Amino acid sequence: MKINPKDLAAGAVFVAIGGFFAGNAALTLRMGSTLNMGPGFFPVVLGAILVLLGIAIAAEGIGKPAEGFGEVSWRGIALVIGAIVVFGATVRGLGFGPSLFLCVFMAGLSSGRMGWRMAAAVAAVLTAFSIGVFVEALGLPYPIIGRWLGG
Amino acid sequence: MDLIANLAIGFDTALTPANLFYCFAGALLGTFIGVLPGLGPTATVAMLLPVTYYLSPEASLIMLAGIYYGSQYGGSTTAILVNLPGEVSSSVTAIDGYQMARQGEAGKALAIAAIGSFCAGTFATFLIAVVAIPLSAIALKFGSAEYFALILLGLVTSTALAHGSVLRAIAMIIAGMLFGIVGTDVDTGAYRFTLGIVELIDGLSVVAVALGIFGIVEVLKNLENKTGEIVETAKITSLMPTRKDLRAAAGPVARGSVVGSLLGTLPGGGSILSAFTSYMIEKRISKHPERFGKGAIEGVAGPESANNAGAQTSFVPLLTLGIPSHPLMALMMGALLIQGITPGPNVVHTQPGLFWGIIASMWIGNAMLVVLNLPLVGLWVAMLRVPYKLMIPAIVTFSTIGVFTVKNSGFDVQILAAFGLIGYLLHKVGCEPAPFLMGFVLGSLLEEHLRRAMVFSRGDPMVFLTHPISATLLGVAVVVLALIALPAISRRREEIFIEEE
Repeated sequence: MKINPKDLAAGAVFVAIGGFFAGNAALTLRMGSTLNMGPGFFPVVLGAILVLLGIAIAAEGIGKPAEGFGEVSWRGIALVIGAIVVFGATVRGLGFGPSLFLCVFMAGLSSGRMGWRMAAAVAAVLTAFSIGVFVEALGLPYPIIGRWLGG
Repeated sequence: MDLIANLAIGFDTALTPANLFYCFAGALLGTFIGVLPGLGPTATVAMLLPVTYYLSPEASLIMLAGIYYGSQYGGSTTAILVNLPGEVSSSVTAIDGYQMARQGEAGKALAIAAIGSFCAGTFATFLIAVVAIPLSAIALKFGSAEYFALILLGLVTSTALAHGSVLRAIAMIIAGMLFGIVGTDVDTGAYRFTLGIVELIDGLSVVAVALGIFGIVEVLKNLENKTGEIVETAKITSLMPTRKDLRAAAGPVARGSVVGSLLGTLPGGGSILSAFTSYMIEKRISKHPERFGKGAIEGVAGPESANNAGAQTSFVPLLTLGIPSHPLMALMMGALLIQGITPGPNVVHTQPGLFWGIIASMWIGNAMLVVLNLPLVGLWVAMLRVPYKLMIPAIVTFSTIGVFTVKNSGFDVQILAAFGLIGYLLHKVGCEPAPFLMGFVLGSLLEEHLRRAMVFSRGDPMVFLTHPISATLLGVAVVVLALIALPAISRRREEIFIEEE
């Protein structure tokens, strides 16, 4: 049986999401009745519908020619997502300044069209600009240097 | 007359120096991001949402609205000059606008687009002023059954806007709703899907989810292909259209304004649907349909008027009913909630300055855009030369800071990263983000009204059919769903969206 991998993957994603919510709700939340619906009612129903839709989407792909997923820039994903995660994880410890610098630096490298010197320069400029706007002008209470660095 | 008195309140609010400044800032920023492909108004509004906390409610809404209609102007400028629609809604303009530019009529196309947008904006402003009061009076009579039906209709019509398979769009709405109800259940106080994480008790941050699936995904998409920098731009010649051009454009502008205003008020409507419909109408009624696609001035005048009118009237459902009609309006709703204002039929009575001020500011902002944009066209085109490799760190940085400043929470930043990944995965399997965000915002509202309606009706689901308004709305939803699913129309949809690619 031939099946379009793109449809199969889409179906699988929705079955997973629907299955998780419906399963979690059914196990941990009260369903209630139609008169007095419990917290579990809506998610169980929606999750079940989503599972069915997922199966239908995968079924749509049966007999269809295979579509590719297109190019994926793994390096780009790793650096962009990494930049955000690093900021979230270090903004308290390192402080707003160094943490943001790291974030911009990593995002700058993501395209592969910027050398590390250029990325560092962009990071320095954007960090200084952001500190100026958010900490100085808007007065948000972020320590620029965090406690890991003795700030 | 009430209408004049109300508009006077609006202009009083909108014409204060501070509000004029934010109107100008919003429109200018909107044009800027409209010109830049890869950064849409939805992501921009999400980034600025936390900043509006420091502004008055009027100023913040006026600025965010300015970003929205400003982006329509900016998007059409690049659509005409370089065949690069900065926004989806201006992709229709690119069809004939770019052809005009290639024939040396770029200036004329830009001028017609601006004049058409301004006329449409004026019409839409007055239309909103006329219908707002009666609509909110009707909405005050709405009970939970009616609201349930209305939200459902909004969600169904929003699938009409998604590319490709209807099943995928519906699945995205439902997935969005499920993520939207993570957190504390309003009725019972039960924690749902919090997985023992304290930060999830308040639910997932709208700003983080919206920026993840719109902003970050856009960056990841752009990293895929190595192509990039813009090359040629058409020369701008005389800006002034001739009398003959104006006469040719008058009809399309008038029709575009009406069509756009009407479609804009539909839930799920807005500027994109308006522009496509106007183009189809003009092509259909034209005596020379063969000129379309080869530089017909009607093909620029109609859709440009329609998308601007639609952008403005899409505020109507939010301001009078409290129901956002598309993802960007959902963020506007967030901006109002940040200010402690619950959008709904009462806003027009409790906050007349805010309500009429936004409407008046749209008209003022449109006038500013006409005056500003035509002389500044050269500057906007130069902006296209900003290399995308510089924009990536800027978009990532401001998205991250934007999410962080909402609650000073590092956890929300991780949610941004997670939804960037989830959104990218969904994009790779052929799903669009707009229905997801609609579901995310409206899911808990839908649940609340469903539960309340069932309690009032003592558990009888027939309540949705015995109330005439809710029955009508549900009937319309069924018809819309049937129409979208019909093979003939779904083929048509595909054609439209293929043109747009």
